[in-house]
Amino acid sequence: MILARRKTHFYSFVVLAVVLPVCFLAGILLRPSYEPVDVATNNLFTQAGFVTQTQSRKAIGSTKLNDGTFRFHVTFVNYQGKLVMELKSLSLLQVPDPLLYWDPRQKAPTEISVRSILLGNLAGLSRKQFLLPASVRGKAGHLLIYSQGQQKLIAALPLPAKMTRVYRY
Amino acid sequence: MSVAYKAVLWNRQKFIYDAILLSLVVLYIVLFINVTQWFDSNIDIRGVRIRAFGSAAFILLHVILSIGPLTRLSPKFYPLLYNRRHMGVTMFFLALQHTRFGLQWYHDFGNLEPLVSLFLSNTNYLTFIRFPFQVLGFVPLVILFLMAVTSHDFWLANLTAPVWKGLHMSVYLAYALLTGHVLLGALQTNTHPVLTLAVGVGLVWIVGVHLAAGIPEFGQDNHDLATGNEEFVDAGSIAEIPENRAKIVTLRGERVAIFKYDGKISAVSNVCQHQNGPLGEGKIVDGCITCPWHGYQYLPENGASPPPFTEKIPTFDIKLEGDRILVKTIPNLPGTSVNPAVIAMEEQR
Repeated sequence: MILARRKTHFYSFVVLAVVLPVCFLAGILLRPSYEPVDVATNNLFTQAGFVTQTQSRKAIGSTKLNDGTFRFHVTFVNYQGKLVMELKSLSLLQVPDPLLYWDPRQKAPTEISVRSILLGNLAGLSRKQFLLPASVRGKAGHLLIYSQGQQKLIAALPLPAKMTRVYRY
Repeated sequence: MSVAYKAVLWNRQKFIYDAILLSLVVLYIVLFINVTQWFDSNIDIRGVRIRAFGSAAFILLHVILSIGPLTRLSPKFYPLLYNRRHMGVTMFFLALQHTRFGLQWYHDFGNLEPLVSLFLSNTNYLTFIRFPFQVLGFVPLVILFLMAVTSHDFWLANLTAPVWKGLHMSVYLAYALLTGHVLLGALQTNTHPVLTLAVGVGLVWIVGVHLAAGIPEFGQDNHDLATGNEEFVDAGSIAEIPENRAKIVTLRGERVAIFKYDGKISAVSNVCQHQNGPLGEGKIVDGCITCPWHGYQYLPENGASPPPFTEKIPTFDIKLEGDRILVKTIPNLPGTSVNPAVIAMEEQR
């Protein structure tokens, strides 16, 4: 190499010899630790309206929803007066960013409306819990699957009123 | 050195070099994926692939960056340098595949374009520990892309070696950013001490071997024989130079290679026209100075490549006083014929 390049090369590594070890040590020493949640955090979840496993759980009923494309096993649970829907997809949802809504309309909706209530994210195959608001109790309606990625309604699954009553039938 | 244009001047050595390189890369990736799945059969294969290709690229970058300084420390490593550019291009494709898998896994299926999501999913640009490590991986990918597309001799010849070398020295910036990418990415979530230690040792090795090779070179560059306006300077004795080899000295900021061969002494620039390789560390083969990097050849009397090749390097006037070699401090134009200094019979004995 010519002298100018050799000098650039040498001084580059003098700088790297100082900067890289400092950054490396800082990156390791400042590494945040993510502690697993313990029982003490349950109060925070309860205050935020989440359902925790320490609360008494009474199953209301369960059913399978199937519209030919999507299949779910749905269980309704009473957690100390809160209506919770436990939902497990029985097949992989081939939908980008799927969201779950409840809609009070009796006829299957073709799009999301201002009356649709967002319940949460539906992605993945794991069992999910959705806290249903009081306005849903005892009412028939539809569960809507909306793709945030495609910006369109993918499916509307009818939900009978008896499933949303907070007592064992 | 080529007369007619050929995309790649394949030869047996390059085939062997590339076969070994690709075999090792494939073996590493297959082993990485299978061993990981053996430890945890439920692990998602797509996440494993991202790490397999990413780690392969990062390890290969360490190998690539080690070759240059190792050749300065020992000529035994010159064979590794011969086809290093293929290693660099392989590393770029491994990094590209790592990026492709990462974009698909972490940034696809959203309401943003994956490349936009890459820059906007984490906007902690003003923090250190939560800085978006993805960006620290993307910028080096662009640098590696530029290096890969300009790696051919076509660009080397058209950009000229000093410009080309300057462009390709941006690999050191890429290395620094990639270390940050690994540090603020993989090492934040995977806290296993072996992984931390491996990255740390790699860092110390790369910086250490470059300084170990660079400090003596820095010292030699500061030992300039031409301190004033003298026309000729004493460059040492004939006995210092082995037959068909050279002594390298620094004259007015650049290096000069003084060769001894067939009872004669000639001096040429130490800088090969191809990639600025150190000609003085090569030897005379078939009457030609042969560069240790890629085998480019020059006649010692005029610094020109033997016909039909056209490369030329500067020459230096030279004379002998007893056993002392005197070299003119001002170089001749590239390809200028200079009568070699003939060693007297008594000096040859």
